[in-house]
Amino acid sequence: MARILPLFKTEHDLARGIIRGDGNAQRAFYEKYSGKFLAICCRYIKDRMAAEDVMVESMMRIFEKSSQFDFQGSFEGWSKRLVVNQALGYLRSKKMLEVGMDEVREVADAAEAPLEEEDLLRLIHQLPSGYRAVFNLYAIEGYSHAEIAELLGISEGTSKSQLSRARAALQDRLNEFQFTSNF
Amino acid sequence: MNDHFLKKLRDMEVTPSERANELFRSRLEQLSPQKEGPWKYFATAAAVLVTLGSLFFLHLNKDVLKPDTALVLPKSVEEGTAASEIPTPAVESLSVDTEAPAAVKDTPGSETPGGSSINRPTPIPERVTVAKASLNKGIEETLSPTAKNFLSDLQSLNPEIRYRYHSIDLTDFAILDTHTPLELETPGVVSPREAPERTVPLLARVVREVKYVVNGEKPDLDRAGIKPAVATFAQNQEGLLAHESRQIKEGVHKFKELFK
Repeated sequence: MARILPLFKTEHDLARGIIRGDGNAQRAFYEKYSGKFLAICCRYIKDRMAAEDVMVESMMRIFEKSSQFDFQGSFEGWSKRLVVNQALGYLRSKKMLEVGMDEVREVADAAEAPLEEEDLLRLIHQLPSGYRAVFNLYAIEGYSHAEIAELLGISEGTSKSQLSRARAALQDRLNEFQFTSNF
Repeated sequence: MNDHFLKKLRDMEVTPSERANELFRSRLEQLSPQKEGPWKYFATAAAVLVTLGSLFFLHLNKDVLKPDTALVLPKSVEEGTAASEIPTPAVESLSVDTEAPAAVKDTPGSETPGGSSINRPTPIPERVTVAKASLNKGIEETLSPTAKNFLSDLQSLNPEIRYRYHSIDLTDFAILDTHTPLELETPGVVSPREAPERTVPLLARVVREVKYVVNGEKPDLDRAGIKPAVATFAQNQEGLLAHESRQIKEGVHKFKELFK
């Protein structure tokens, strides 16, 4: 896609353009944030094409709902929340967001491994979708357990347990990865 | 571990494929038509205004050439009068109440002697009643061969020309404009086709005409009542159409030749 000159100096300028329905602002927004938003979608959705579809759909929702933005915080942050909601909605529609009620298993943090983003993404994709969602929301997006519980319609305790299970699963996989990479 | 993942993944970007870009462009095009093109609404509004203005203009001009405009010819032409001295025929508007039955006025034949002198046209109201007086078959049959020949000659000039004669010796008659239907009326009865037609608004008649055309019929400006208004554009200074003016002159000459 052709690059668009930076006509909008600040993020709020861009938001105003989008609220006006300015096509240039919408294209500039896509140019600037499509990569970040697609990365978010890829963390939640394993299928790349489905993730792209959700990203484009999220963009449309942002354009439609932009008038609700109150200019109090970051437009990017506000948009990211819409993208996350869209991804969770996709998982929900595909019945892929079933969060279990297994008991908590505390695990120790593993040492930092020299993994690239792609490897980490692959590890996350190996998690069950419920764990993956909770882990992404908590560890990457920075949501609290209360917010996660409200978003996913579960209790805070379940959110915590899911996070622990996700961590444990990731730890196992990290250990496996480190073991195989040492040999 | 959270920090580790957070550092690596928070600012991660994945470049969308060309398919995703294409999808975005197509979705954006679907979204944009609602925002652009307000000129279309203005153009539509302007077209409607122009149409309504034209119809209103036509409606105003409809009254300029009334369907019952009658040409009143002199009763007779003085013998030896030059053609240039023949007075220009007067065109008078027949403001007749079409709802009321037409009155028949007795026109004695003795009042219209042929070939004596040029008479001034009589006052309009009297002419109106005379012009609206219908001619029955009996009178038509009593016409002299000369008169019949004259009428047939007049008809041959233009089959569309209409006339009503006030006396059987044809010294007093009126040529009606071509918008009046050519028919001999029954005394005391106004043609039912004419009366309601004039009361229907122009717009309604145009709409009805459009319906006829939609149903496969040919457009008829006469039926729609538009033709009289359109014809006013072709009027000369005397308020006559060019071809009517020529026919009248020819008719007057013919009349003069007959009654010399």
